[in-house]
Amino acid sequence: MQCEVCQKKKATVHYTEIVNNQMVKINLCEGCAKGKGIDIYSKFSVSDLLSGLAEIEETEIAHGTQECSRCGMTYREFKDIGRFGCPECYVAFQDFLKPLFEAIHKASRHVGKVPKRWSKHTSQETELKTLEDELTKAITREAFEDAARLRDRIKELKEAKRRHS
Amino acid sequence: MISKTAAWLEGSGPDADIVVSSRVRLARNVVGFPFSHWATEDEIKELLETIEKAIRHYPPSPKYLLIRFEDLSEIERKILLERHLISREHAQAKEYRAVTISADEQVSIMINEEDHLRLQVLMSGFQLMNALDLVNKVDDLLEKDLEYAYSPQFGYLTACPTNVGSGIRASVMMHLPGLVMLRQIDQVLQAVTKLGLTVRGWYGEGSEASGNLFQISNQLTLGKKEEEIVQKLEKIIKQVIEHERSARKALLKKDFPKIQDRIGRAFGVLKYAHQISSSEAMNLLSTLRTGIELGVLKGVDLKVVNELFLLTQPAHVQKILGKKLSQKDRDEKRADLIRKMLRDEHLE
Ligand SMILES: [Zn+2]
Ligand SMILES: [Zn+2]
Repeated sequence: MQCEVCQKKKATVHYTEIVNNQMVKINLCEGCAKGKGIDIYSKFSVSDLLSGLAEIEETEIAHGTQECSRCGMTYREFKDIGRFGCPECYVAFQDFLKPLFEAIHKASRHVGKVPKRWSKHTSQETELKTLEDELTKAITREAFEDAARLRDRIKELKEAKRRHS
Repeated sequence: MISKTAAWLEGSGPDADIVVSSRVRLARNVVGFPFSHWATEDEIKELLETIEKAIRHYPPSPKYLLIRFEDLSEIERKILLERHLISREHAQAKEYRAVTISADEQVSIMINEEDHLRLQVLMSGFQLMNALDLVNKVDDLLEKDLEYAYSPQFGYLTACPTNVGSGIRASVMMHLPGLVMLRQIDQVLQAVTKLGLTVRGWYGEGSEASGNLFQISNQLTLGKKEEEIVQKLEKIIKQVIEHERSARKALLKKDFPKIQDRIGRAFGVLKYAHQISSSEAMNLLSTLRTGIELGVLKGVDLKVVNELFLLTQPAHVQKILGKKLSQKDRDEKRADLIRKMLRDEHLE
């Protein structure tokens, strides 16, 4: 049996992996197996996923050349490589990421660990959300004094946030 | 480092007769830098220096090594790979890559791999939660100095979208000879993947997985808490352990003399062979391990077998001999090494 990658040497490594309930067998020579290593799966799957998503496909025609202002990676490059260029790419390609993450992780929002320097910010963000909800309710029930108080507090928080960033 | 066994190979810890080791890895990146594959040489260099400084400031253990790859030979890098301290991709990289290793080899930090930092804890036996606790502590220390790339919506930002969110990969290395021998392994592993986990096994020539070793890990990293991800993995692994235990019981009941014969032969070959390839050694060592786990093979220490698993890997053999060897020479030296290590081991 020949190596499926170089098509030259004899395949001696028969790599098996079960991904999403499907058995994938790849036959490789020792050299190519070492080169490919364990990353075979993630490299293939990301670009496969990206090209398989209809939603992304549509917007991509319009935005394929959209690029990250920080590192210069275009959306098309991201699609080809399957890797982001820098953390800012997550902002630049934000519109495409929700469906992508839903496809990979069946979720698009982080709920785990928060770095210490972010935990204060996160609690402020939560407070802001709660206040905004209360404000809407206050307006609905026409409690204008409450609404005014809430509006001032929201303004305060937003200004503090602006000063920080 | 090479002369002693890593802590995770001690053969101790809960359920160590089935779960060889537990590992938890966190992917982290530093804000303001491109990911390693997209960064310029200057950026990579600056990153390395920034991270090294943070590690010196908050070391992962009182005693640790910080090794730059440019100071390592190819064989030395392969040794780190065989000891599970760096990844395959990382082993091929050249300048401005580094790794930090705690004295007991439980904690390692890969620098400038696919992500700027990969914090890893590797422990003997089945103890994923302990591994998670320790890796979190190392993470908490480093974030005092390093500002991680993070967003409230997407969590920890990683080079590859498959790691985003928690950046966690938890895995166990399992020895499953019972399920392999009873031909139930495919069924069990397929059930495991249906539950959203990834299974990896290396197959050499022939149909049996080399060494009967399988790595099982979580696949999803976004939308669940780290503890939940680890707990779910633990729950499924517990079931696999139970299946393996009953397979072993069934095997002993079914054909005890045959099992005994197989294990005795494996011991004989390992103790007296003069040429042995790494895959033959792996398979025979697995059989030996099975004998110990089943209580059929008395008098041989699990730790010795674990040590041999590691020391007979190609790069280790060459390092022990202090030179690069041809395959034939390696096979001879490997056999010498095994004979020497099993010299005092006898079957009761
Ligand atoms: Zn090849
Ligand atoms: Zn970017």
